Amino acid sequence: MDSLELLKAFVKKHVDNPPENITADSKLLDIGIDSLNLLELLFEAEEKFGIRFPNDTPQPETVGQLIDMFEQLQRAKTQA
Amino acid sequence: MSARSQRRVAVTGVGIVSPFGGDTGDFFAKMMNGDSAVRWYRHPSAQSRLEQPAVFCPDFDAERAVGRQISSVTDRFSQLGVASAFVAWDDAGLPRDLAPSDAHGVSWGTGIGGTLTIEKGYTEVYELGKSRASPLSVPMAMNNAAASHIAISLGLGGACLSYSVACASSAVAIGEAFRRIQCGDALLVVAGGSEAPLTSSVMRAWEAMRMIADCDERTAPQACRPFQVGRTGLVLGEGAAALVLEDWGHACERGARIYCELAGFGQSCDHKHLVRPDAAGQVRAVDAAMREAGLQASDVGYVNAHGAGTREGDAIEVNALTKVFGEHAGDLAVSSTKSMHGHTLGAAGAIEALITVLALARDEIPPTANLNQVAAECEGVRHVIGQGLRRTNLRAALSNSFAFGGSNAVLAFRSAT
Repeated sequence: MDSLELLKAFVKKHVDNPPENITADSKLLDIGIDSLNLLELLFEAEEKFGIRFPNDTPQPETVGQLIDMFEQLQRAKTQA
Repeated sequence: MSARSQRRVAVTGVGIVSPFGGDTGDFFAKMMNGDSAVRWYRHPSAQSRLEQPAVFCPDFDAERAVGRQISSVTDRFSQLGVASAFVAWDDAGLPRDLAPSDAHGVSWGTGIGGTLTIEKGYTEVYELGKSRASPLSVPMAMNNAAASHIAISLGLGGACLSYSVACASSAVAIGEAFRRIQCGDALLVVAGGSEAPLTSSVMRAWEAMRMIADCDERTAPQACRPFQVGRTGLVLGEGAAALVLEDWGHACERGARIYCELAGFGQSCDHKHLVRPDAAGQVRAVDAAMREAGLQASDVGYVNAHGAGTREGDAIEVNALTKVFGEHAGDLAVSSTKSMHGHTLGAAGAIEALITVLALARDEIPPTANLNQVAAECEGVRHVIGQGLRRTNLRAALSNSFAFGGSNAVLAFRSAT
């Protein structure tokens, strides 16, 4: 499962009337991800991919920004 | 305090999450029929075998009741609470998209709040050896989560308060909501309580106090027998109920259906013992509620008793009632509906207030189930046995909640007409 699939599965599980089309430009708030369930999503991603978001991780606004964060940490983990 | 100098308070909506799975009308009909919701409960994940009589809500579908957005970030006590508040809100004829108002508030009761979340966290950390807790542990477990989710969902911008007074929590929440409307701080308050106590640690804790009714799988529905000879204790339950309380003038202006008036609220502390109730303290709370409501002993036609089914507690409560009602006690209809919906701890006061409201509005008094031989020490009032009573010309009724800690809360309701 890649980052986007994880995000889509999370939205389907946590959001009423989940949107059909989730793109990199989608705003997280628009697809039902607020600051509370974002915490849960980051936790799930950490468990799934074996990564750790630092406490000063900036708050992503879009799906693209969130996926970039996931992938940067995954790359850093692979290179380590 | 005189009710006449204050704003009057109307009950305009009621909502419950019924352990029977039906709506509020179905729940009350079951109460009138003496149907017990108590079943044999096997804890699904306790390390050692853990079985007790209990009341639970197997048909409750949190996602359907409150939506995925809320159900995915909440403990079951909040889910039950929000669900009951939605039912009460709809019942009051209020649209879900009503403009947010600072004159509308929440007053909620819970004894142990997010105990399922806390137990899950402990299990993961101490039993499964996980090094991390869920980031939602705090917002799910906190005792005011239910109240806040109700406020967020319904746009209630006034005071959002949670009360934890053991088994009187939601009676106190309703009473304090009454106060806020009386003094003009709020025009409308969603008041009630919720509890989801069926964790292994809570079940073990009550078992350790030797307070759970004796029974087996077959006899579980008859386990809770308030006022009965040989009664053996209480039955834990999960549940939630909400009332919409409203400034009388506000309710009339919008043409709301008024079930009845909440006319008095009496509180006291026994100041004697942490877990052994005291009749004198209860008398003071009942007296205070009746005085505020302007009720004489002969005016009150029904008391929904605290009546948990314990050996000591039931007798002490009847003793208190006979002291307050004197020569009228023998005619006073009394029942404990905990015999059917169990003891839902912090939600009990709200569920019983809802039953009392409907008893008044319908002129129907539910019975104590499983009662066929009143214990000598519980005699002195008119116990409602078998089927409920109908057409008694009920004009006023009380709901008693007497908590561990000696905290007593009594709500006095009067017929709307």
